[in-house]
Amino acid sequence: MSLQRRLGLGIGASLALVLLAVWVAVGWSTRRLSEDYVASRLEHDAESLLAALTLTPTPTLNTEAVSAVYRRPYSGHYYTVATGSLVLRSRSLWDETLNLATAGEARTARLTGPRDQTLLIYARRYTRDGVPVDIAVAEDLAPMERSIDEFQRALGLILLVAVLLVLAGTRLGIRQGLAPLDRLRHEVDRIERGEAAGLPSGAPAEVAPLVEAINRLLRLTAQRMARSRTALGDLAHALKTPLALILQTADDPASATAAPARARLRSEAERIHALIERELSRARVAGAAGPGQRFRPADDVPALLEVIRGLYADRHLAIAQSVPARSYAVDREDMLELLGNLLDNAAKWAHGRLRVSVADAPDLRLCVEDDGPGCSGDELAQITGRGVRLDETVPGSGLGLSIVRAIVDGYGGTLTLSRSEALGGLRVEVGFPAHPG
Amino acid sequence: MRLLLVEDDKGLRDGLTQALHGAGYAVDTADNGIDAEALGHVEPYDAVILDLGLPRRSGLDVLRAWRSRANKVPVIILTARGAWHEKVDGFQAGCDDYLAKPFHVEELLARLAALLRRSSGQAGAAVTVGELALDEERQTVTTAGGTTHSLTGTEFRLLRYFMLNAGKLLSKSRLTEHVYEYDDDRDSNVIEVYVNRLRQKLGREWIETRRGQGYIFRNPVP
Repeated sequence: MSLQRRLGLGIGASLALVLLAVWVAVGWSTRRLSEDYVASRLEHDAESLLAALTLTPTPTLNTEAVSAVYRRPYSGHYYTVATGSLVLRSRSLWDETLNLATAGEARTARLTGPRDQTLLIYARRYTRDGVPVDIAVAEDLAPMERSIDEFQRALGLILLVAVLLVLAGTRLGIRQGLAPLDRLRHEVDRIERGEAAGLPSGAPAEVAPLVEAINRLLRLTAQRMARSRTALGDLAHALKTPLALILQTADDPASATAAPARARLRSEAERIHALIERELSRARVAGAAGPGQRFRPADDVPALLEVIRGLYADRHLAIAQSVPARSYAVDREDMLELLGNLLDNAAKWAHGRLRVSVADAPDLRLCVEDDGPGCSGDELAQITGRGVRLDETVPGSGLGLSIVRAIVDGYGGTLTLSRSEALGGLRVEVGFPAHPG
Repeated sequence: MRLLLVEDDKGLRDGLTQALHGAGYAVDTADNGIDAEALGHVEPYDAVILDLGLPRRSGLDVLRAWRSRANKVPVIILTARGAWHEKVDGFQAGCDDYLAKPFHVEELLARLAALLRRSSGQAGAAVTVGELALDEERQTVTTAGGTTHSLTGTEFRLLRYFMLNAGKLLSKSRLTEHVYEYDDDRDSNVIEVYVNRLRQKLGREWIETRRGQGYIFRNPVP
């Protein structure tokens, strides 16, 4: 269940409950107040009737003194005045009677009157010149109840709108309150794509500790990775100088060591070197771009071609390139290592022309072609195996491809070798799965 | 040809110095970045072999310092750092060739010879001027008639410097600087002796004397 729904439900339910209670209470007290008001008016009317009553010679009412509504038939306003056996009734009652047992004490009650009207009745026994006079005054409550009902309906509607408004407000508030988390997620995505090294500061106080914790974790991971990479790299590099010395001794024909022993020394030193290079490159393969730099073919490929031209300066290689201007979320060093090895290999075999192209259709694709002798079908199948050397006379050709393979595997990419249509030699294509950004 | 070898590992430095001497180069050495930079600024080397992992100052910084002062001396980087992004850094700092350790001495010598030929504008795999061809491996020279003369170490060094700088006026002191090492006892009169020996082997017409100025090595049949 989402945070937004949970908060919305809690706030909505409690608010609806409170407003329902308010609605009921307001309705009840409005009804109550109105009835009290009607009752006190009836009391006043009863007293006016008493004042309008003349007992002698026969009890008569001065009807001019009482309100006109009592004379209109079934107007909803009625009275009866009883003294002794004589009962005076309002004209509005027509031929109906008010069924009221006058008990002496003043009281108000509801009863059903003529035409099924709901009447509020006020009855009281007065004493006039020693003669008991029972007066009952009644009023139809229906019009008042109708307007109370109307009011309550309107109130209910207003409260409902209020609930909906509050719910919408809460939803908006929550969404805005959670927006920093959403931004955080985008930032984390950017880190994954290698566009950022850490989360930006300036998050709201509630989120800031989380941001800080994530940044700490990132720093720690990067440090550990750097440390282990550095340690491994340092060891491997430190081994290379003594190895160079061993090779030099093995190469030196003037050395006192016998030729077979020197050959053995040389081959073992080369094996150690190959092992070091393989492990070094495997450790170097970072997989998805972490805090490293992004690969920008438009800058990196020309720089790499400078190296190839420098290393093969005597060969006057014609190298064509086609690279896009955008950058990719893969580690620059990995891509340089990959392309460097492919280009080095191509340059060794090429007669004079190379072609390197980078494309995204839709995945990142790197392609290196040469105009060298190329490979047969069997060789193509064999060449991608680890450390397989096809030609021992061209140094390092096996190792280079095994490094390429390690990098491709590290990214879950594909390595395809085929015949170059354009140049006639070997064509190596590396494809990487689609990377966001 | 006079080289600067910058390498902090003594064993490798000594071994390489010996191999370079054997190939007919005069070699100065430095075992740290500060000394290397200073030597490179002052001495007229024909090429530098530069390690990157140096004490006191990194090889890349040394190289950048030279290049920033328009010192175009050809530089081969010789380093354990063999990753391609490191090679990119090396070339961007201005090196001319890059060799990763461990390496075979023959490869270093071949690359060095090729680099020197390139930097003097010589195309191809051998040093030639006209009909004259220098065999750097055997340290011999073949003349127009097809006769091959063997050369002593100093003769070879002097002739190679002449051939790589053909047509230029070379003073005795310049020849001394490029043929001998920093510590050698430099007597420029010795150069005259070697020039005469070369004339005996090649023919007088190859080396012209400019009195008070020096020598010009050129093809007598243009």
